[in-house]
Amino acid sequence: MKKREERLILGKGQYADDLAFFNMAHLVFVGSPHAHARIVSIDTKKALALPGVITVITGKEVAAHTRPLPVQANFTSKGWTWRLADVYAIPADKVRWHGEPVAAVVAEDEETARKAADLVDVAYEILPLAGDLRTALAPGAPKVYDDWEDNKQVHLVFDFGDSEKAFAMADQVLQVTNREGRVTGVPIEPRGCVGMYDTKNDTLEMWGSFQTPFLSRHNIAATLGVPEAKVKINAVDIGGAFGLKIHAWKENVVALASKLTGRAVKWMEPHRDFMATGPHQRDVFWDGTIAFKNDGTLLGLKATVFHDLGVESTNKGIAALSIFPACSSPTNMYKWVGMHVEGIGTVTNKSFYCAYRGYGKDKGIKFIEAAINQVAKKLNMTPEAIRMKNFIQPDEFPYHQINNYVLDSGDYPAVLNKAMEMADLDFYRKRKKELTGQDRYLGIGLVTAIEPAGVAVPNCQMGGITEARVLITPDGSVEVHSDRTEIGQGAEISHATIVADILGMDMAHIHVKRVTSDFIGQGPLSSRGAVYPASAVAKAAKLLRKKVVQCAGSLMKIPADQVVLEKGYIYPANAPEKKISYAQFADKMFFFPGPRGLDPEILKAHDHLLDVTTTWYSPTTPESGSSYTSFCVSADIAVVEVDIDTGVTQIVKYVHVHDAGTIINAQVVDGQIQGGIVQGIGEALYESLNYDENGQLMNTSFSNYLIPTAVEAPDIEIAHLETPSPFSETGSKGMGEAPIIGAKAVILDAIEDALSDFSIRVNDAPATPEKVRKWIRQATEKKPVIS
Amino acid sequence: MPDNSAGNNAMKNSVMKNFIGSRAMPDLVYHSPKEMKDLLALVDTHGSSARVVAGCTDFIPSIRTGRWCFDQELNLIDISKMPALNQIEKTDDVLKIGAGVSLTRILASPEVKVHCPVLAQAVEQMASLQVRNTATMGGNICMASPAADTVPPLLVSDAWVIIRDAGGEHKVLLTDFFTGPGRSVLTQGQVLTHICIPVKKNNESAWFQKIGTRTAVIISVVSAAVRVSVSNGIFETARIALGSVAPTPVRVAAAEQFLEGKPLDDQVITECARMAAHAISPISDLRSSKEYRKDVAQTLVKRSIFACREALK
Repeated sequence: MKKREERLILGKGQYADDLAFFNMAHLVFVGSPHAHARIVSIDTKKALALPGVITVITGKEVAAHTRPLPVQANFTSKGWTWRLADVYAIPADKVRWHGEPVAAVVAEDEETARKAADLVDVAYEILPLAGDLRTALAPGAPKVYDDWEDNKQVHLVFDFGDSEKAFAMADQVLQVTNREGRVTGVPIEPRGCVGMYDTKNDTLEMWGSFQTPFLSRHNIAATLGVPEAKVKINAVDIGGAFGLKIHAWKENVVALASKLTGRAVKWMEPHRDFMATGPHQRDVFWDGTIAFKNDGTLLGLKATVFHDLGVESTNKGIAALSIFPACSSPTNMYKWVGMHVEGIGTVTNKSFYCAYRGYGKDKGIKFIEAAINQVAKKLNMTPEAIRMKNFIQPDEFPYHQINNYVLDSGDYPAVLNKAMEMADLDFYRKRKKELTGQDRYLGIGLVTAIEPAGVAVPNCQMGGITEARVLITPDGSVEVHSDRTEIGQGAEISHATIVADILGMDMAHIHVKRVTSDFIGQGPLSSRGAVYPASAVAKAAKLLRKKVVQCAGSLMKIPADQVVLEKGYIYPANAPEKKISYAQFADKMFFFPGPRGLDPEILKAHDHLLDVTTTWYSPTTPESGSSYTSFCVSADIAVVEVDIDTGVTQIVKYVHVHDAGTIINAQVVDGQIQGGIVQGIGEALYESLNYDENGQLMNTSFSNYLIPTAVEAPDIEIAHLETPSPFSETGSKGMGEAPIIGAKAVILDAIEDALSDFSIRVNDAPATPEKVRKWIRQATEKKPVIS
Repeated sequence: MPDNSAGNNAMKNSVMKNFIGSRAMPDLVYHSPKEMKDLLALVDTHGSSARVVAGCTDFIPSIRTGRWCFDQELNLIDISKMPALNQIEKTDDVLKIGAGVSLTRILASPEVKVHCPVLAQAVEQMASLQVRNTATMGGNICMASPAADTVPPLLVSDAWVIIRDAGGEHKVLLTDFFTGPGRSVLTQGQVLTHICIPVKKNNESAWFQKIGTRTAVIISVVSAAVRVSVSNGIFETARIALGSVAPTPVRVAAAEQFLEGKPLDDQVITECARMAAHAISPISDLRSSKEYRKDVAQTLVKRSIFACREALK
């Protein structure tokens, strides 16, 4: 296969917006200008009268022709609070957030649909607002879902180990709070798709920016009431996904529009729609107490994490579930006696909560890392010393953590040591002291993390399903199929590398196919690409290799252990000159297999069909309940300088050391690291979705929802260690999310260190210049710091 | 250039009836005059149904976001292809820049670098390369945003603009040009054609600084420009202008007067900056609170004067 980037750089990418079909119509959503209002009436006459308008779909049509959005995660049975809502892709009764679609206009072209969208007349009766977590949880608060008792969707309670014992053993305890603002991921390309309903065969096919085609098929088929077997979903080139394109709900309306009109229907989401009516994340507040000994030994934690979910997060998105890893992840990479953690998710009149790089795992780690750095300060220890004291040691793997995670492998001290060496910690600590007298404020942040990667959770659509197929075609080229959608993370090149290595072929002959719903799997999410699909592909390739070796041995009349597969050729170990190419071999297997060529037993078993489909499942999850199989290790050290008169933070140095097991492709791993760190910096310094008192999202464009540009991105110094995971087929670990976790935490920690003269706790992200300046002013005016 | 006055019949204020991520463009008739007389004729003929544009970097987002809505057909008059409005000329002591000149060309101009470096300093920090390639200074001025980054450097440079209409050519000092956010003295039938800037003198120095929430491609939370002339260790003349702190970019006369005739002392400069911050009453908006604006305006003025003093050493 050709390298993907070559195709994309030459402008040959085919993204959702490039899709064009014969007789294609266009769909535009009409959103509510109010955050919480009853829909009194909708008048579509004026819109329908506009030449070129084909139809207008409102909540009434959606209710008449579809079923409610399927529930993607259901934990109602565990004795926890876990409420479910009966929701449709477009509501007929009331709107629950600013921008929520109330209608969809279908027209001959996009501009006509946009014009008509403004002609849809909707009468609203405005309702009181549950605009934020505090308001939503107050007694008598306006209810987002009328049939619920209150606005609490989720309340989970976890006891890991023995937290009472931990606190009884403690010399000291420390209360720590942490707040993260509401953010969204920002792919270059928002969501988009084309739906084509074949009215003759009653089948539906869709193409678009689907991160998980198999799950999308299930959800779209279920809402449309069409058998899943009659629906096919195809992923096209995707301009970034980050978890934000797992769900399908607006896509369901596109499918319905195609079914109702009998036309191919295209929908391409503008960025403003993506921000206002798309997936959001973070928006959490932690309140916890950490228990420890005077020598720095960490013992336990009692904490509650409050999530502002926005509207229900079990149907549109699947992120009520992310409260689980948020509660589990504070154990990070240390030994503990016990933890008691509660996770609360509240619905509010904001856009919905969905997966975004980190998926809750980030929240627990960021919180505990901040807490540990506070403990270190209290005990007058360095941040590295307290970590070294509490790390799980290299000889203790696999390590059964108190939260049931089975930690696979790693050398945590080695990763931190490498980072400290690269960061030249002593130099910068000395420099910080020198500069303080000169009115300059340098800060050094240090954070370590293990990222739980490769998820399988029962009772939801992330159960761990995966399937792969590797086949050699009659001309010797190889097809690779899996559920690992290429979302810019390097799925294709990774799969090609694995298969080429195992089969002894050149990568040019390996063709990783576009992901469709034809193959089972939950897709690339929660860093499972290098764990589940990569393992399934490797397993399939190994089984295929076995077939090749068996058949070639039979063909060449040599024992199987004498068969060599190398550089696209097959030959006997002692007679390389008798080599045949894969093309010659495959031709023989497919079209001239016998009877005198191959052993008849092979023919009877049909083992010469060079096609293997297989599955893979975690070796640790079934017995331990560990919802993750691999745990990559990282250490981030950042040096920043804060301009205390303006509050502006400059990143002076950034070091990231990573151990994600066996590296399949170094460029892919580095790309994940660079991108994740820059996203983390964005969350630490700039990004915040803010709603006003009327529930209107104030930042719906890139002029006020700020993400880092190339100018703000520092030179990131990266080093890798490679401790293979014993639990994946290739030894590699998932690693897509670690960089965003460490980056956010370490920048905030570095700012806190820079402001150490003012004794400021930097616990409210993002640390914008204005906020930093406010903290400094409050500190210098000797007023209590309010964050 | 566009007249953004609220009284324009063709433009409704943004009443968001429905939330639509990207709104339709109005029906457009595109005009691209080459000569001044053609431009004036078009402006005259189409009246309130016409908009004069150059780079369109504000026009298109304003339509797409619904900030501007037009009920009727819109005549778009593009001045970017008029040779007369596309030049940077130096005549005697004045730098004359056509309203159709892109920011990239201003940045690349040796004349601007020599005769008004503070303008180049501001333009360099504006938007992205792609936007600078098409956006114009004329557009930046006519949009009359309080956050227009080219304006504070022009204000401290004592710049004026040339406005053309059926009655001929009018010279308007930039200090008299703005009447409010998005509003200026431009009336229907008038077009801003040139920006004129007195060239920098030897004993002068000017400096521009802005602060946004991010470094690059950012709308200013506060911007500041300072120009001082110095003789015999004394500030002879002073100009201080601030952006994003008032309904229009403003000069702070009290602080300017305070500085004039004073020695180049740290204390004097600090006091001057304090006075500048004291003189403004910014608002709180999505980008910043009024407190932070006042706070950081003081720092920017102080640092800009220090930078001018440093340059004159």
